[in-house]
Amino acid sequence: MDSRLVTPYIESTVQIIRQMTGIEVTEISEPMPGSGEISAYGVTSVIAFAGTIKGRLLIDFQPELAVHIIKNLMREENPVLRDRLMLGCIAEMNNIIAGDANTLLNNEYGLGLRLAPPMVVTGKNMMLASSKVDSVTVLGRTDYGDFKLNIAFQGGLPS
Amino acid sequence: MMENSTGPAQRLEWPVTMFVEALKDAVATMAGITMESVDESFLTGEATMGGMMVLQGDPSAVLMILADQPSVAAIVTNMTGIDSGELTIEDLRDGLSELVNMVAGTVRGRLAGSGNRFKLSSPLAVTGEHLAVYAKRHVECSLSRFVAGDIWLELKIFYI
Amino acid sequence: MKRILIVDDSPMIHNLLRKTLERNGYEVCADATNGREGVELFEKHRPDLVFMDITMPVMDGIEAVKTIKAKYPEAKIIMLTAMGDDEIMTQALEAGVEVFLKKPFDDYKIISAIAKVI
Repeated sequence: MDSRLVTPYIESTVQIIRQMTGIEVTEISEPMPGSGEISAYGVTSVIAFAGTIKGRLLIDFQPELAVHIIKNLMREENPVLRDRLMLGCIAEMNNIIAGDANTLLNNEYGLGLRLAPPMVVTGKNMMLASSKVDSVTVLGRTDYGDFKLNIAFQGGLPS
Repeated sequence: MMENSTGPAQRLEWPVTMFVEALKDAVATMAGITMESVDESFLTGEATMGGMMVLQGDPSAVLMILADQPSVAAIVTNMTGIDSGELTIEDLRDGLSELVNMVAGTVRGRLAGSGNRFKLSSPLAVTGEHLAVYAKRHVECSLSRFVAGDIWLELKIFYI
Repeated sequence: MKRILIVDDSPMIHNLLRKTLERNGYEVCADATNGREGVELFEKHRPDLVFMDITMPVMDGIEAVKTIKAKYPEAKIIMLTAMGDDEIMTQALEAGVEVFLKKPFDDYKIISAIAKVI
C-alpha cells in the first residue's frame, strides 16, 4: 500500500495518544502488508471513511492499555471496560485520530474523505477479518500495553 | 435519548424490513434455506461470529449479522456443497462477510432512486466470545431474529 | 467444453460458482482473487467467459474489465455484484461488461446469465 496513505494515520495515532492521555508510544513497527486477518487484543475501534477513495482505520488495544487511556481521559480511577461511556472514549479517540489524518490527506491530495461515526467491538479471543480491501498493520507499544493499527483502503492515490 | 445532529430536516428512517427481506432472500437463494422471523424474546445461543458493514449516510448505521459457528457452517455448506467438517474458520468468516455484503448491497440498490443513499464500508467479520459492539452515538438498535431448525441468525442495525 | 475464469476475492463465491458450472458441463480453467491476477490469468488461459466481481483488493473489477477489453475486445465478461445501483452498472457497462449477475444468485440465474453471453 502507498505509504502516503499510511504514514498520516501512524503519526496521528502517536501524537493524539500523547496529547490526549499523556501516554507515550515507545515503539512502533514498520507497516506490514496485511492478510486481512487481525488477532485482536480485545478492545477494537473501527471507523470508516469515504471520499474519492474509501478506507477504514482499526485501532486495537490491549485491555490494560484501554483502561489506562480511559483513566487518563476521563479521570476515572477504575473504569469498567464494558461501560458504554468508557468505550465511547475509545471510539472518540479513533474519531479524532482518523479525522486528523484525513484532514492532512484531504488537504494534500483532495480526497474529500468524510468519517462515519466510529464503533468499538469487544470480546474475548477475537479475530477480525476484512475482505475486499488492501490493508497494512502497524504494531505499537506503550508502558501500559500494546496496540495494533490496521489501515485499509479501496483505491489509491494517483502515482 | 436521541441526539439530533442533522438540524431541523426530518431524518430518514432506516427501512428495517428491507434489510430483513434481503437477508432472508440471500439465504434462501444461495443456500436454499428458508429463515423464519421469530420474536426478539426467542432464545438463541451466544453469538460467536459477526459480519458487519458501516452504512455511511444520513443517518449512518452499522449493519451486523450475528450467529454461532454451527449456524454459519450450515449456511456455507448449503451454499458451496463443501461438507461442514471440511470448512475452515476462514471459510465461515468469508461466508458471513459475503452475506452481510449482499444484504447491504441489495438494500443500497433498492434505495438508490430514493433520497436515502449511503456508501458502504468493506465488510468486517469478527469471531470470538462475548462479542459486543458499542457506537459513539449509539441510541437505537433494531434487532431481528431468524431461525430454520437449529440454524439461527440475528440482524442488528445500529444508528450511529 | 466452454472454459470459464472466475475472478472474485471470496473463496465461497468461487466454490459456489464452480459447483454449479461443473455440474452444468463447464470447465473452470482458473481462479483469481483480485483484478490484477484476473487480467494475468485471462492472458494465460484466454477463457470463453469470465465471471468478474466488482469490489476486490489490488485492482477492482471495473478496472480489470477495462484492461482486458482494451487488449481483447471480444472477451465475454459477466459482472458479479452485491450492489444494484445505477452508478456501478453504468460504469461496468461503459467498461464493456455484457451481463450483470447480482448476488444473491442461484443455479438458474447463473446458467441464464451464461446463456445470454455465450
